[in-house]
Amino acid sequence: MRKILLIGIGNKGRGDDGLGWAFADRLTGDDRFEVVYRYQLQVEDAELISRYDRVWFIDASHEALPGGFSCERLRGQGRFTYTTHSLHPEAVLQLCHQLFGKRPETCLLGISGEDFELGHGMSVAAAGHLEQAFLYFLEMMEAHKELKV
Amino acid sequence: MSRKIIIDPVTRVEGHGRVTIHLDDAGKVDKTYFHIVEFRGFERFIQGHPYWEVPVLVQRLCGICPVSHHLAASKAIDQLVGIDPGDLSAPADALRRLLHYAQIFQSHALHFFYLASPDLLFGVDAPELKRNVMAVAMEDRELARQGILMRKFGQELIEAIAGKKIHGLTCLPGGVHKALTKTERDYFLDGKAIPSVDEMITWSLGILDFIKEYHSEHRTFMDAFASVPSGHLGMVSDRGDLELYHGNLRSIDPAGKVRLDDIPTDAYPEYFSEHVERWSYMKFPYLTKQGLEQGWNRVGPLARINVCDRIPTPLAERERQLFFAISGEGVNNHTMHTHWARLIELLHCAELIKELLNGPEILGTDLVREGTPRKEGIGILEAPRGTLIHHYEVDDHGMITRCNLIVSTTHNNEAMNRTVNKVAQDVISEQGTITEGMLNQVEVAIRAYDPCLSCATQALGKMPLLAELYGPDDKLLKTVSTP
Repeated sequence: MRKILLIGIGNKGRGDDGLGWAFADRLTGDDRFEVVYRYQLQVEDAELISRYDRVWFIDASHEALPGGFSCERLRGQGRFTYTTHSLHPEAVLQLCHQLFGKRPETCLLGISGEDFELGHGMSVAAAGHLEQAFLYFLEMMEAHKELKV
Repeated sequence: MSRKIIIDPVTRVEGHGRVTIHLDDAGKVDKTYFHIVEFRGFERFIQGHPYWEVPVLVQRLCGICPVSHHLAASKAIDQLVGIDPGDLSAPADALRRLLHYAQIFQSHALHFFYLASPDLLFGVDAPELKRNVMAVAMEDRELARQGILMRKFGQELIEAIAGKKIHGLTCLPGGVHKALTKTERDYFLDGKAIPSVDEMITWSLGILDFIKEYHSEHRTFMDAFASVPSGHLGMVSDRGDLELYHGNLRSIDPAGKVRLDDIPTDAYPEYFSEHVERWSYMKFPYLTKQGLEQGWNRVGPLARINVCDRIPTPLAERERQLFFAISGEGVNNHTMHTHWARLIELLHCAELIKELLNGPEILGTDLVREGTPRKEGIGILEAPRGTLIHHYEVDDHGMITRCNLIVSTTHNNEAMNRTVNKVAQDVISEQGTITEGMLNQVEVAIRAYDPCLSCATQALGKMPLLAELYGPDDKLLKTVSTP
């Protein structure tokens, strides 16, 4: 089984919200990764990530991030609210540890979007951010670097 | 001096609803309304589309029960190409049923473990941040783990048949488009990659033991809280057995007297009417003969268990008999027992899934039948939340000219309103502080019905919690919200 799980989160029908899926599309077919797509995270994703050593969540961000993206190492703490309709990746990791005794090395890659209205295709700015984030990700993979977080 | 309390939206239900509670001058509950405040209008915009698009389009009603809409629409569309349910090939029928039971299994698991169990484990007045599956995981790790794996089992079975867990594609007019392979089937039987269907049956029995023990320890709450007498509507087979995919419609009154006597599903227009109120986008269906005031029904697990004569799988039937033996009544109107009935159905579906996976038809490749086109099709099945009706008419070119949807939650509209009123009267009976715990009790009552408000209005929902207390002249006095 592949050891790295990549979860693209978003909705291609909402403009730049499709950034997570667009990123995932680029790695589909790469033998190093198991690539899955989510509109939003669910509780059962805790079981899914428990099967991997390393997990990357890729999601669009509403924030104007420096350089167009951010990378955060998750610890699996906090961010659990009353609703389980959609979960933050941190909560999925927390649940994974609580129920399945696993805490995979988990990162959240956020990519800045600008236009989240109904419609297909991403903005020019978001496309640029996607390129920057993808280059950074490849660099991390090739160098097996520890994340600077 | 009257006051108005608003719970907006109701949480841990599928979709967006709002409750307003009107207090009289003495601070007692005067009236309550369970409003459905979103609208998308699938019935209208589907008109003009070719009939073969419908099973795909209507799945977008909901992210929780798209399979139910896909199958109900497909049953109707089959008739537009001249195929009645009995005309389907045996493999196509088996695959559709397997998909349907997987959907009910995952949906019931989702509701009980993710949405309802916090209320039972921590009580209806527990702190709001404790009312979620993470808190359940901290309290009872194995219960939460099993819940997740049961939901996953159902979802993966859906994916194996439909290609995707959500908004997949199984049916085409007159059949299904893909057979199940032996490898795909064995995945759910051998227990190598995921817990097997036998494990699902064992766990279902375990969670039934949990609810029976809970009932014995909290009998007053389970029996009295939110109980309202209601009519009950569900589907039964020709023998009167519980039937989830295709059968006849039966309704009984609150005392158990049959008032809709096993009518064929395509006769539903002769027996049902719908009413609208200006304060909700959700319709109020009722039995025409009994009228609006008497003819409304509860649907879903509790209603189905009430209307059927038996359950045609042995373990679930044993649990049904225990259910009625313990409750001591011929007809069960205890709203909180809906959770119990839902778990009996969870077990029933696990048994049915095992039966189908081991059956001779499930790997068959004779998948599609053809017939003589017609102008009208009616597809009815028992979705997780109750009786689901899809009704379409087409013109000479196969374009949809009329669409009527009566979804499960819509049938429960009157029952939910009466239940909310009952609970509000019980817990908010004196003037004084309105606590968040009190408001949660109203939500607990609604949650027992597992309403899918997205389906009921064909709208997407969001889930922030906001409860508002209004004083005279609609002046906002207090807001209760979660982060």
